[in-house]
Amino acid sequence: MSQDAHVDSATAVLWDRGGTKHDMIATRTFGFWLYLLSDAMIVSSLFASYLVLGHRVNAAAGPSAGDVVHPIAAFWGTVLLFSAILAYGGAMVGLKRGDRRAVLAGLGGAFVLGAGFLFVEGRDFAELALHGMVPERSGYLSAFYTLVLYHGAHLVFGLLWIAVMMAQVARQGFTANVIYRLLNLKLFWFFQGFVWIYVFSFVYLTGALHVH
Amino acid sequence: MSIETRDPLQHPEVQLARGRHYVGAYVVSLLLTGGPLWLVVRHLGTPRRLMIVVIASAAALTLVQGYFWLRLDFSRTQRWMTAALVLFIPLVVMTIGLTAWMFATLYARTMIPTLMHAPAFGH
Amino acid sequence: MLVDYPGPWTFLLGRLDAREIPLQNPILLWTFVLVSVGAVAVIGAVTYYGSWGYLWREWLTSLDHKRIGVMYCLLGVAMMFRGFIDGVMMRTQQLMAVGPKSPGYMGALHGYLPPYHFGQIYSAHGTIMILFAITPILVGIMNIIVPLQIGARDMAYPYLNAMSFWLTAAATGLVMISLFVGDFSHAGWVGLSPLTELAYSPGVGVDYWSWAVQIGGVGTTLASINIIATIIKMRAPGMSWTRMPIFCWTALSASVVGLSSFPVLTAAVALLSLDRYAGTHFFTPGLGGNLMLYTDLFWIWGHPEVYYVVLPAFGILSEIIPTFSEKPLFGYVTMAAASIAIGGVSWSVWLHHFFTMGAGPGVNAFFSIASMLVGIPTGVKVFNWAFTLYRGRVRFDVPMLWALGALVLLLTGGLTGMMLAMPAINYTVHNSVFVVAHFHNMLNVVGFACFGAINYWFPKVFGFRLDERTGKLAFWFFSAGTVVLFGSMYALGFMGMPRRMDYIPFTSWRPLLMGEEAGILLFLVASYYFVKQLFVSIRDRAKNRVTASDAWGTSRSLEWLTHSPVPFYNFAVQPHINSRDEWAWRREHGLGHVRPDRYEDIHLPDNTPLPVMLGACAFALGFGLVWRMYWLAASGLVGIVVLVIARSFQDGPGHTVPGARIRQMEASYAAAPGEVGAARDPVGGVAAWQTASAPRPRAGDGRPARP
Ligand code: HEM
Ligand SMILES: [Cu+2]
Repeated sequence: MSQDAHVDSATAVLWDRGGTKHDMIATRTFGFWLYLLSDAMIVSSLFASYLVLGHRVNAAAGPSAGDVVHPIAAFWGTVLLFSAILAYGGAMVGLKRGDRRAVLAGLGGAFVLGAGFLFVEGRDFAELALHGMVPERSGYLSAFYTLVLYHGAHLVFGLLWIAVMMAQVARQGFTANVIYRLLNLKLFWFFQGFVWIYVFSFVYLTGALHVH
Repeated sequence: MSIETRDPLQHPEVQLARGRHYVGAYVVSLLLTGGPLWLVVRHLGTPRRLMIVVIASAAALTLVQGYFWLRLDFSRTQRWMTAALVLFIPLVVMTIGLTAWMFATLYARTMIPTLMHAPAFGH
Repeated sequence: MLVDYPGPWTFLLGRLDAREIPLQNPILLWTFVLVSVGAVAVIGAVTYYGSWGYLWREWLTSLDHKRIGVMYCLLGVAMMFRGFIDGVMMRTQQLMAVGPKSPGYMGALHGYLPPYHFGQIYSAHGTIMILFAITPILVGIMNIIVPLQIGARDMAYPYLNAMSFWLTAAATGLVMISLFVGDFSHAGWVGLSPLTELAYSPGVGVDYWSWAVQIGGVGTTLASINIIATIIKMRAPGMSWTRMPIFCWTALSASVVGLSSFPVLTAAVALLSLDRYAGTHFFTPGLGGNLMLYTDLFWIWGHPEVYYVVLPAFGILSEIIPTFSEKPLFGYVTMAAASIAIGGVSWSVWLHHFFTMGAGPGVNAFFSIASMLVGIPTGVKVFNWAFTLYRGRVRFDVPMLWALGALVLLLTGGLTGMMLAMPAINYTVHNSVFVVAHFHNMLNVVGFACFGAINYWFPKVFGFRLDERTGKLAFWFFSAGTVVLFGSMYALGFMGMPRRMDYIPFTSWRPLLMGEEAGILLFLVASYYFVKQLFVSIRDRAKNRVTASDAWGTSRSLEWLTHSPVPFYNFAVQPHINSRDEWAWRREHGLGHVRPDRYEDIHLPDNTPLPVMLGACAFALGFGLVWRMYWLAASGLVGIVVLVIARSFQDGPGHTVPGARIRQMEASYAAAPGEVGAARDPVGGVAAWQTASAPRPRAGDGRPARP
């Protein structure tokens, strides 16, 4: 019958000894990466909504992109965010050496810079709200806030996670479990940079293009 | 579940970290966001040209951050992650692109045109 | 930020007050009585047999993929029952409310269900059947079978697996409690916008629907991650991609579809909730909302979702048909490729659910052609199954009957799908019961495959076969019901009957409506025989006991290599894979009885109550949000965060089962094949139910040793 007639049944290996050889860390990081990709689908849905609701009909005679975005403020946010990622990269370089102090310093730096990003974004939004540009104003503003804040919410969550990981690194050192979580957090944190590229390009820069 | 016997610090994914790559990608990232920003706020080009610049720099940034920060390549360690990302990209493009396409002329085709020309909706 | 809605609110109870409990509605009252009696009976029985501890230790806190799978299936079957009763109620209403002269009862103008109640029933029916019946059954089957087919000890993430299940259970709980506390959505399983907006649905019904969908959706997304990672990372040595059983290929493809599409549903429903809670304008008709955007996002998920459920069904057929044709599957490579292709193409067809939106001809043509392209890989599969049957020694065991029935249904369902995919036809039959007949036809393919799978793999999990005679009766009545019900429905669709009608104006449709009613009565008989089948089989399990690892004698894939019922460690020693149909290969080369000569320690994760607790918190979160009891919602959320963080500090070390103990267990299997496992092994759930009420098990009884 068999498509595998070439395996000789007399000498074939039937059992595999020596315990399971699955790589726990790689399995964990891969699953987490899959989660991030599914999250990217949510972001894509939000971008699709933003595009559809970007039509001037959807501004409901209210402000449209050109009135709402402040690309220069967003650029300072960009600098902070990318620096936060770089700081996390520093932690990863420290981890490679098994250097606990460097890892803690990198995580701490990422925390502070990430919080800085949220501060810049929050100040921008507070100003918009002062001018009556709130999500309830129009379909366009609903889509704008939701998209940008979805990224922001991830950073809030990331800060919480960084704090937890600092505690774990300090208390438990570099166990396999702590390490896979640091690697997952790396994926998470770097991924927010990815998402921000598109938010910055297609919300802030593109929005500013249409100011006449 | 397996018992991890080797030193986890020697795990290939830990060993992926490269300080120089990280810093390089950082500098390029700032250039590729700051550059288009400067062009846009200075209006250096038609909106159409600027749009192309924005798209191109976003695409370039994706590659730079993907390769030098997330270190997505086809090495043994990383290839499944890269493959998963590559498989998802068409889905992202379809979600956004096909949606944009089907809505592009929708208002004009349905009852919205009368509204569009009403004063309240104009600029 | 929070919007105003009509009605009172208190801090403690939010929108909830005593009037929300529908005591005045006789139908709900009786349902409540019935459900309470059932619950009391179950709780009483468990208490009487003193099985609470057993239930908690061995099932509710279990991380064993087989147990979680069984719980998924039980949940799904129970919900299928609930959804079925909804169906009976709708059919009966439509039969009673024909023509202006039809009488009305219990407050309805015609028939016995007022429109608002009827609306809730069809919404609950669709939501339940797709998300809380078929999906859990399929996820359960994948949970049980995928690790066994690839020779793994468990799923890649056992803890996440339990969490997915308990999230699904929490969501199901929300749907169920909406029967007795408040009401359910009346806006269809698709959540028709802008009907779901607060202005048009100010009650809690839509919120029940949206939070249930939301929590269940997260559970399914996580389950998809688990299955993908399991297949990619946990295959036994020697199992290359071209040696992987087709069911695993379809599980992989389905899970990729699920992983990528469920988040879009999450987004769509989250935006709707933002409209309802925060006053945004995504889908409102005024102030710049776009209600077609909801429809778009919903179907970006909705169409892939139908393939999420049909792909595993295809995988099941691909396992059953070769076994009972006593031949290897025809066209393995094309079958695997078709599974992946179907998953891929299913992502680019969603607009066929709203051709009538009025997009341009280019758009409609694109989606029409893409929809028809799905037919190509599907056709490849149908031919492959046909060629597998061709010149096979076909046996008509119960699983095979269900599989063959599914093939026939696939043909009619697929062809009517093709018709619907042509915009010109679609404009005339969209939103008619023709569409309803099409997709029930298709979902019955999945249902048939599920029943086939339950019959096929039952002995693998529990150690005895399901009764043959009652099983066949269930199959024939179910098939007859399908033909009679959906035949009538197709005809009504051609006659232009719109879907979701609580009152039918034309008396000329009555004969066909009676046909539909007759069909559902046949379903009723079928479900009686299905329950009887379970009952008879459990009662006479000694008679149907499986003594060999292979319950059917001609099975092919790896799960049949290990004992029936499967011990908690799956395989005593990890098998090395030499062939595409490993078990068939070993059997045909006289290696079927070769057991390993040496056993090694096995490391397993400890059971943990955290997933149940997470499910409880998710339920609290959902319930709190539905009723706007913000303190409860916040507590649920905080509970989830705290539990997740606490777990990350614990690092459950797991426990090791020494090789000597494995040897002992394996020896006892060899001494009395079937007996030992079925009587004492905890995985043979039903049998273990009895041992639990007997004196506590002694050593050597097959329970895992704690170090
Ligand atoms: C050959 C493949 C198929 C094609 C071309 C096809 C085509 C279609 C079309 C065009 C519609 C929209 C009809 C309308 O609303 O006007 C539709 C609806 C539907 N189909 Fe299919 N279909 C196919 C297979 C399936 C499968 C495999 C399933 C599920 C297992 C399925 C389930 C559904 C459902 C659930 C709906 C409609 C739900 C609703 O509107 O409430 N279809 N199909
Ligand atoms: Cu479809």
